[in-house]
Amino acid sequence: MTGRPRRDPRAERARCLVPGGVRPRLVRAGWDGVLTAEAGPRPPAVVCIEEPAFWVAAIVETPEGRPDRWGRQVLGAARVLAGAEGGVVALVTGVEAGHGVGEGGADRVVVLDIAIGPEAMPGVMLAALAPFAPRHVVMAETPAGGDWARRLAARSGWSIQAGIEMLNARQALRPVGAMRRERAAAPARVLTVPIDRVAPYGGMRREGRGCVPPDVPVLEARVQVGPVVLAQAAEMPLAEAPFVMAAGQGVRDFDSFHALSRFLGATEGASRVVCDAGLMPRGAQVGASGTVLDARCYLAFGIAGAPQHLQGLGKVEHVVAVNTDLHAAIVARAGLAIIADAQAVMPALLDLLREEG
Amino acid sequence: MRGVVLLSGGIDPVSGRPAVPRGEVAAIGLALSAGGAVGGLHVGEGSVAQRQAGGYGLERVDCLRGGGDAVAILAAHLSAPPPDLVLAGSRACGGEDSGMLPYLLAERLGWPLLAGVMAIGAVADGWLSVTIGLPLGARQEARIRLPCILCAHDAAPAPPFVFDRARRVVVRTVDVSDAPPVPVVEGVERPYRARPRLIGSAGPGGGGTVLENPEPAEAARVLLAHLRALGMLGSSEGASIDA
Ligand SMILES: Cc1cc2nc3c(=O)[nH]c(=O)nc-3n(C[C@H](O)[C@H](O)[C@H](O)COP(=O)(O)OP(=O)(O)OC[C@H]3O[C@@H](n4cnc5c(N)ncnc54)[C@H](O)[C@@H]3O)c2cc1C
Repeated sequence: MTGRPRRDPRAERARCLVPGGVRPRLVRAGWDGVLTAEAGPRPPAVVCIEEPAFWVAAIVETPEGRPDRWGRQVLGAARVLAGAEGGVVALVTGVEAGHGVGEGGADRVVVLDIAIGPEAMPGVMLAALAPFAPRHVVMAETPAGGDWARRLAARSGWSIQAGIEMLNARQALRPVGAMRRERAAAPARVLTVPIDRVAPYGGMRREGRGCVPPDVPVLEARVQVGPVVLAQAAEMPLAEAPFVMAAGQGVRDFDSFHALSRFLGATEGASRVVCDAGLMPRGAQVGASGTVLDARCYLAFGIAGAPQHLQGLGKVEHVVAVNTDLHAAIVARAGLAIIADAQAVMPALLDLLREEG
Repeated sequence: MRGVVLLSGGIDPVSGRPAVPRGEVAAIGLALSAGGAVGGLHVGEGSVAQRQAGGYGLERVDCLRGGGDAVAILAAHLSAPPPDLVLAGSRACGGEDSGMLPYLLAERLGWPLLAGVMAIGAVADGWLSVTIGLPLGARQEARIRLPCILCAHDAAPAPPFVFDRARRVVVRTVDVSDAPPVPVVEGVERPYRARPRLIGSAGPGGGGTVLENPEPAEAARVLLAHLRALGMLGSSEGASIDA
């Protein structure tokens, strides 16, 4: 016999049985949940942590006021490293920053001025991080985030692992040697995560208490950056365009197509058949032997969606298709598919846009 | 203007044979566009990759042979008569591939650094104007004090490869004194295994809305509302005027 106490299933059942009701109902979570649930909806619980054993910092870019998918993944990575004892402090850069950071898993939030130049950034970050003495600093491997991470590591002498592909509290894994080899090691002081490698935080909401940002030390500027100039849709390289509108074999009315792309501010693409026929330049070809898109939205007129063509849509988030064939492959890939003649929909869309001004 | 391009001695990701990484080719292109003499600099023994870099337009490549920390060796070599401009790719291809070397070098030399450079403009009063490439085709103009370090954007225009130039390039080996050794990197190394990315809202998500044979006006209305909801029509006001 082992010394372990034996289970008593009958007693357990009696404890879990909810009184009343026609059929027996068991609630294994215990009494608390049942009673309060019947008393009315509870406000969402918030986890507050006063003195964590250590801190992990996440640096989150919030271009639209709240962390995007990538930003939430950065917070998720910081939570993984913090575990149960650690706290997460988020340094947020962006306009109206600070929203949705607590839901993302941050215990403290420090908002940094978005106008801080790349050269001053490591100094400002070090000043903001100093009170927390973080064990790890996590950033996104975006152009800006990757740049800050490297500047921070170079300035502070902290170890860095850039572009980690797998992370848990004990080890981080990243490709080395031209992506032909990988190295697993204990997580470094500074880490950067590419998109869709670490899951966002899924637990209970965190406090996200605001902290005062540090005074920015004035630095002799040797770098001056100007304003960001957004690209014009027409002259944007297809591979970088956020919104692509493409013509396939089903488009015959190219005047409407070009007018529509101007109206919508979309970059023009085409399927191979259309390029082969000389109706669109070769540079517009989307697909395996053309350009692989990085767009957010792809609007396809009269495109069947051959496998070679769909390969060009690898990362596109939203596909919209106009096609006469309900069973075309592109319809299965599309978030919105309109089964209609492209020659009728394009002028109607133009009319509607002109009407709205 | 005297420019120096840092060459990492990379390998091709597919074949594993020596090759110039894409970012370093772009860096050579930027250096050539700035005009003046352009040389290559590599720490370690020369390999085929350095000759290939010559094919993209470098006249001379110096290989610094000496043990220890590459950053210290480069810093010592570059500070003797400092060049105006040091260019590098975004990251090496075949080593640690962290992209840290230009940053550590800038910190050690005390020079300013800019990353993601797409094009180099003119010099005025010791300031160099550059164009930085951002995601989704956006651009940013910047000015940086010379001497400086620039990391080329991978999509910066690449110069053509000329085989004859690769044959004629002068590859010199320079013996330098040893630098303090770098700390050994910990961890276990093994062949790369591709891991699937997280499945999020992106990617082929089947089961969208299908609208069968609507009236054209109805189709147009739904389409426009959908594009609006996705936030794709924000910046089209300017375009609609001349249409
Ligand atoms: C090695 C190789 C590489 C290739 N690489 C590429 C590549 O990179 N990119 C690429 O695009 N293709 C590529 N292809 C070709 C590809 O296989 C297809 O042939 C091509 O994509 C089909 O183009 P499509 O959809 O425009 O034409 P189709 O297959 O002819 O489809 C036309 C579609 O339009 C619809 N339609 C017809 N009339 C109308 C109308 N009035 N209104 C609305 N819809 C209408 C039809 O229902 C149909 O679905 C490659 C092929 C090979 C063999």
